[in-house]
Amino acid sequence: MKKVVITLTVLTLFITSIFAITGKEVLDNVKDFHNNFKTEKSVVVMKLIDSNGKVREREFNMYLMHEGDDSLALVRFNKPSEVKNITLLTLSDDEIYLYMPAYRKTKRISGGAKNGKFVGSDFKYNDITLLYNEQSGDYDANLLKETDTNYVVEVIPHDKDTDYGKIIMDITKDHLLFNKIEFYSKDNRLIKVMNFKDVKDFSGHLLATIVELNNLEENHSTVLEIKKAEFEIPITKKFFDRRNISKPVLKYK
Amino acid sequence: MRNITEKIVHHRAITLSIILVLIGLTTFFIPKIKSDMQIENFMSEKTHMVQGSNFLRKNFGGNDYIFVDLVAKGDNSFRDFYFNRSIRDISMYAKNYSIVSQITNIGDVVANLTKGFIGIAYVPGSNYAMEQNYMLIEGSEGIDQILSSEKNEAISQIMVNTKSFSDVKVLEKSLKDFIDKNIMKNYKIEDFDIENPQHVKAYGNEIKQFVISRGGEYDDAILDVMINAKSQEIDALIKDIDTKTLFNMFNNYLEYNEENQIDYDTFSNLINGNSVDEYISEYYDYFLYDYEPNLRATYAKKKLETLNTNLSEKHLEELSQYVNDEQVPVEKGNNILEVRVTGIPVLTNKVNDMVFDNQKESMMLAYVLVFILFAIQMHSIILGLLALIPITLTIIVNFGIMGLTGISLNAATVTIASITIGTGIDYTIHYLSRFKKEYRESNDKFKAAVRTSATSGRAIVINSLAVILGFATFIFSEIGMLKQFGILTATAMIVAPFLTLTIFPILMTLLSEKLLKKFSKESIIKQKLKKREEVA
Repeated sequence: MKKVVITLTVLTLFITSIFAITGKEVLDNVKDFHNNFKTEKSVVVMKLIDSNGKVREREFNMYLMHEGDDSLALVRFNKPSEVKNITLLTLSDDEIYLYMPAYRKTKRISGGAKNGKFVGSDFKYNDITLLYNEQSGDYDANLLKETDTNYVVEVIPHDKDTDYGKIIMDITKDHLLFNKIEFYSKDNRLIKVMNFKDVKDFSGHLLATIVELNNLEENHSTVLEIKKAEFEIPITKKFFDRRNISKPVLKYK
Repeated sequence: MRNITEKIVHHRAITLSIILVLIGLTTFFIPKIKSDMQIENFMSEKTHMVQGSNFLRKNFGGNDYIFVDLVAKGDNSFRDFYFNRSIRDISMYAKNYSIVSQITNIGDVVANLTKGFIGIAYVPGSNYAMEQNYMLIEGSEGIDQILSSEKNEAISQIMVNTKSFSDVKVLEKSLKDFIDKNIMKNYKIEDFDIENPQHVKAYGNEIKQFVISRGGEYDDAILDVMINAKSQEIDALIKDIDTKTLFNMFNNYLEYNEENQIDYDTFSNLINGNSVDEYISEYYDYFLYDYEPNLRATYAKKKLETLNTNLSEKHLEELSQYVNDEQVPVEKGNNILEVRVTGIPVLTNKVNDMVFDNQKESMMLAYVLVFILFAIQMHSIILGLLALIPITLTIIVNFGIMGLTGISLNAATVTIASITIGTGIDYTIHYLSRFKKEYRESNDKFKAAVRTSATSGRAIVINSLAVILGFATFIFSEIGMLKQFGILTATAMIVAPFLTLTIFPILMTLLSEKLLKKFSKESIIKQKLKKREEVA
């Protein structure tokens, strides 16, 4: 009888270990669960809050398109009037174009900019993909904890240029959405915390409409508010053309 | 001492002439004295501090920083284009000085970002363009070292070679003068209306500020060229631009848009209004729109080159971009701009000045007090003044030696004058007290002078030798400043007794008997005491 109990216990543990989900699988599931669209347009309001509590607000349209394994992104600012029509086109990590209406010129910007801050906010260019439930670049992912409602995954980025030593992601099990992300420096200090709130359903696509990013080092924060999101809009790859971004009105092509 | 003094009093004219000639010679060197508070100049070349400074100077062109701090107050912001142009202009002005090497400031960051788009580094003339620039600049790595967005404050870090603090002082003064004369402290930003004389004046001020900061010569003709280039229609303006240049620019534009380039004949037909393919005409219209700022600047530069601006090619290129300014900073408004020049070299110079002023004041006070003391002791204002002669001459000789040997005025050497008064007065009092006694007893000024030198003179010489040995220990110091202090005090202690024992015998024997009687008269208290003794 004793032998049977031991055998059953070992077998249970073996089966459990075979079917236990890994950190990488959790992140892949999150990505696959939400990447069920080809194109998307969202209207986003970005609030930059400095240490004195002073708020600066900007509004932009973001266009996304999945093309095979690649994601094409176009960001065009609408407000305030001074920055209207500044347009950023990301074709890949190393191919980013910027149109500056003040100079009526489009310029390709350095691939190194991906680790730079996104238009003065606390988001790095690399952090933006997290809004779309995707961790960019190469990384290792370890499942630290699994509860009835959440997964906690530790991400170790491989990119040498990154500021982060590790990223701890709290993901809800029901909708596979990020709940909270903590960014740690290479010397293991908590430097940024990203909170996702107010999940809304946009024609069957779930999105956290308020994303707060607190930069603990600089006592500065950025709040992104997704005002509107449309999926499967009629845009083609031609829309994401460097010559298109200098046009005053962006027409779907 | 007796023999020497006898010779002195009997050859007064020759002795006095020799002394005055020697002193006169040293005065020629006084204007050569330099003030220098740079501590490393007084330290051994072997010390780590000096070696470190030399390494920085050799490899980086400087070893310390002057900071120009700009604060935006009222309605102003660090994003304001005049704020950014001012910090760039001040930095450019500093570059005219040879002790300046590297400069880092936010205006240059803005200008370089603009260069990424148009190929020429300059701060654009509109807050709309500045907002776009700052959207990309804010949050960039390292920007917080020169910009505090929360405090609306930016600095220009000017690396300077502080080998000579006098040169740093010249730079500091020039920077302050440039800021006072050219930078507006209260202004408002308005959209540029070329018909508005106030706007044209404001535009002229900006251009003048630019030209002066780059070492150029401003003339109203520059403003006329810029206004002319700004007011002309683009179609009229391109007639003045070299057709080949225009042709190349247009072909580059076609290539960028992935269209076939055209030949020169087609382009000639296009600009002369002859018929060409419709799509080429359309592209040409887009080209004129997109390249209008470049074309205006090209035209302005061509016209500016005909003037005697004394600006380099690079600066003319930058100035010609001002033709695209959309706004102007008009004097008097709620945009407040505060500018300060600071940094360790500036503060050191300030302390330097304070030490000198303080020393000057204390020296004057010492002079006055010594004069009062002597006037009372000698019962005569004239004699009080005469008593100051050896001390004064000693100070003159000392400054002459400083100029001759290249010893600079610094915190230690500046105290020499006061020390000379302090120690020199001992010899004077010693000499005059004894002379008074000897004259009262002998009633013969020549005898009194010889006896004074033979008695007190010997004591004065021994005293000075002891003091010289005391101060001479500083000569062996590793710290140059103390070494110089030792040399100068020792010299002063040689010169002071020498002049006391040569000038005073001559002066006292030149005085009238009447004056000497007045001088040697006993004090009222002593006279009263004597009378009482006699009565008793």
